[in-house]
Amino acid sequence: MLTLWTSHAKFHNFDRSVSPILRLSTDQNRPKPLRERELYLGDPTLMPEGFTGAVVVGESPVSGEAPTLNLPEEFSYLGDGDIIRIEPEHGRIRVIFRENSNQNSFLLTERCNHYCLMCSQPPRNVDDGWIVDETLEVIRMLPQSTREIGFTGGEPTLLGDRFIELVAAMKCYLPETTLHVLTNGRTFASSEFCKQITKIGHHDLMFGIPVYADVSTIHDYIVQADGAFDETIRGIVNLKRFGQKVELRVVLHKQSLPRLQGLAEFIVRNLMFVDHIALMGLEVTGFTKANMPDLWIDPYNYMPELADAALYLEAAGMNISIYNLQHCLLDKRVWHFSRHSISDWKNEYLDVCKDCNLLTDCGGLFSTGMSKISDHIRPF
Amino acid sequence: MTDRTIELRFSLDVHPLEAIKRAAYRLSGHGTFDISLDGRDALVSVSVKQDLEDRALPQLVSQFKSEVLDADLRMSISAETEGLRNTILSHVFSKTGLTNNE
Amino acid sequence: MSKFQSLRVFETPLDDGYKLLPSRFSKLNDDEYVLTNLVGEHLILSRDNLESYVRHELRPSSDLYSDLKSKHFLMDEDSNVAIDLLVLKWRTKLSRLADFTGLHMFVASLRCEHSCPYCQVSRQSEDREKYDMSIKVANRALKLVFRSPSPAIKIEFQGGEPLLNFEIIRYVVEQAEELNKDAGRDLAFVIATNLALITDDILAFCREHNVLISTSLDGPEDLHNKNRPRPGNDSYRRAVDGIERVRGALGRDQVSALMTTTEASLSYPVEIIDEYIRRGFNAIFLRPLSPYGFAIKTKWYGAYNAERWLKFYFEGLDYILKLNKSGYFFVEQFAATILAKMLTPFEPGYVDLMSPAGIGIGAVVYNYDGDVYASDEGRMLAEMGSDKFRLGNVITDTYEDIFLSDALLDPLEESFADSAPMCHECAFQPYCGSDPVFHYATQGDYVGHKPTSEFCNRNMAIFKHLIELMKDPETKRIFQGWVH
Repeated sequence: MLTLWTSHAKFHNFDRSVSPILRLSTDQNRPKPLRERELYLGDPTLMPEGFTGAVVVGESPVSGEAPTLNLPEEFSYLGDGDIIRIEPEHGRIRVIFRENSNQNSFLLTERCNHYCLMCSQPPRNVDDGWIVDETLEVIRMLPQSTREIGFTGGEPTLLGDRFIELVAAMKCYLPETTLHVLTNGRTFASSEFCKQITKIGHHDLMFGIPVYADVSTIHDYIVQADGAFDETIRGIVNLKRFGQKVELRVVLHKQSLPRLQGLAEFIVRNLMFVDHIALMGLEVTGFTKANMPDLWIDPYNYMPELADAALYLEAAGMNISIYNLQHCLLDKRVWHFSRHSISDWKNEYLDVCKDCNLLTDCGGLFSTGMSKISDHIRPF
Repeated sequence: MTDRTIELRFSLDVHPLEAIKRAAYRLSGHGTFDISLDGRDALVSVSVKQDLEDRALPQLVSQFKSEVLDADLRMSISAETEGLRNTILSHVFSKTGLTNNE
Repeated sequence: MSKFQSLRVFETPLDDGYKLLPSRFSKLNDDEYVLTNLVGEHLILSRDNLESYVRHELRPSSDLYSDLKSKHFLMDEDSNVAIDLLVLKWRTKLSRLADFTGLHMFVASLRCEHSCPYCQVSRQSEDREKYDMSIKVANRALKLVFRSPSPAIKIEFQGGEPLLNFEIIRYVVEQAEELNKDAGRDLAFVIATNLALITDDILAFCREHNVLISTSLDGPEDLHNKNRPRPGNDSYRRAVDGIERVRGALGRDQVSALMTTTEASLSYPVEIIDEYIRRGFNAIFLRPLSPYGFAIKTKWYGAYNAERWLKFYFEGLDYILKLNKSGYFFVEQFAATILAKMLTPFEPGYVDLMSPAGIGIGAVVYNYDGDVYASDEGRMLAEMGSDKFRLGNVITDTYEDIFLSDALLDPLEESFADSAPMCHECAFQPYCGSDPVFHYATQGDYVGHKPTSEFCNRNMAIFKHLIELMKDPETKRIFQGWVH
């Protein structure tokens, strides 16, 4: 598991005028004008002129007048092109973007109008509008070669016009980058909002929207919001009406599993126009921990139900994937749906996995979820 | 009354005449049904068709009674859902997207 | 943590109750009923549960309640998105209607060198030139074709044996393509032929213009030849060789086969299907014999009744399901057409299973002499002496004369299933059709008497059988794979 932030960063000679968002560079030949917004990652004595400062990872005596940032050993993964936010007054840094990762995501707000039983990012009702400004700044710094960016939250569409602004910025500054937005879809029940998104004309945009049951009662219970199901479905239909790409996401646990087949059939009957369906194993973090008795089932015990639902969706011609589950916990007939879905920074395998023949096919486990794992993980 | 005909009495306070007629129509391939009124009752003379045997009569009668109950149930559904059906149909032919006001 | 609310909070309180959404029910078997909603989604339940549902006695916490809510049979205070979804689905089902006539059949020639007893068209021997379609008729017919608003137009050449008048086929294809330069439709051509007369020149033309071939294959050699007599008694050989020849010239999937069931076929469903597999087909259409043309004249139709054909059909379907379960993809097309209506909101547009009827709306026939018929069966009826479904003539009548004629509008209106007794409340209405031609031919009027209608009895038996089969999840999955 990668550490993405720390409050034990040692700042030496950083003054207040330094921008909080900085790109890291290891390039000795980095064009001079660009060095003003960047930190040199490496030996400060070799730092070319013009950089804001240097970043050194690991124990090292800090000397000289140049601003130097000293980070713990856990940050040795940092490389050229990575972007960090610094808070010298508090000794904090956070890694915002990693150039060699396929799964960069920007959390746009911690506010949410749901309170999902298994939320991995528990909402906070705070005024975090500053995140939007920062994200806009970061977007302008990203390399054109960036393959994909995710927008998450909280509920990103609660930002209203600012959300539109962010999507537009992604289109303008990164015309070759795929944008994947996680949202509960409710705001899109408004045609006006759909129109605004559509007007942007983003080249490769997909909305990932959770639907947890085929009836409002259970879905609303899982997301802890009355009226959620109706608005979400309306949002999905509206988005497709406006030609947007939609992915349905189903997290598998005790509350969503009993009617999983019903949900599969509901999707085929009513939402067959969606572009992708993700059936997802549970991440044991955040609110999940608080609701374990109501949520946890060993995936080994729901292998048949998951296989039936997935195969049914496949027979109906739908595009599906299974996320976050290991091959030893999946019916063989659905292995071909399983993806490497877990974000690289929190992805790992167990010791017992070392000798497994399917190690490279399998997606591995959540580092965050090590407090509770299946009793049936075994190598092939 | 013969081996091939039975007379049934239905109270029209319990089942509407329409239900009895519809049940009769449904089974008109297997028998003939002569319906008449007697006060608040309907009298139905049930006969098996010529090409069927006598012993088909009891089964025909029980089928008929069952069909009357079903017809009644169908009329309940129809009456209750007609309004909604028309609402849905009107939306089907309108040009707007969703049905809620936005 | 008590900041999370329990499931109870989200369940509809008992006193709020629920509203019924439009639905119909029919008996499925001795113990069960099948309930269908506005768009043909179905649910099986006992009579007692059915009654509880209608009388508002179901409890919101029960599985049946959730199933009924999910499948849009009821609605409560908690959620009304069912309305939006039903509107969407019903609109989808009805959207084909506005496209109007998509299938246009041209009878290139009434002549034929086969003498099949079940032929639904009078056959004439080869030397009667007056049974071929003329250029004048073809031109007028084409003008009518492009008056149809349908974005997709399929022109199918029929007969007799249409290849006996290949010149008119060539003419119509080329003319249609010319006219389509302005019209911009999705244009397709099919020739329904016995393949006995196929030549390299004809194949070259088909390849150039992307013309598909549809041919008859009734089963293994002796059965096929018995059904389809021809001088030399080599119909099978010619058909089979023809199929390979067409594949070689046009492509593997450019030729399809249709079988016709006769009394001789009834004992051999498996052998017929095996023949199709042997010939490299992945689908078969197990058709019933229709009561038109020579079938009645030579008493073929009376030779068996619905029961025997159903037995044949169910055996064939059973065998096909076994094939699918063992991993071999093979489709029965009549079932697939019905299953599309059962499992999807799409309307397959199969003329015989449409309400309003498919006559005129789905398909139309331009006969060799310019007479226009509401359907192929309507044309057959005319050969038997009744021109009830003749809509006009391409030479003397305009598009409006033909498509607004009483000959078309009367049967459409009168036979409309939702207005017909029994059909009005039948659970299977979304899967069925009104077939006014069949009912007129067999019972004397457009609506018919459904309790004694062979069309009704046969279709209901098939609908119930398919619903019973789908109780098995694996079969349901296979069926879903046939229709997506």
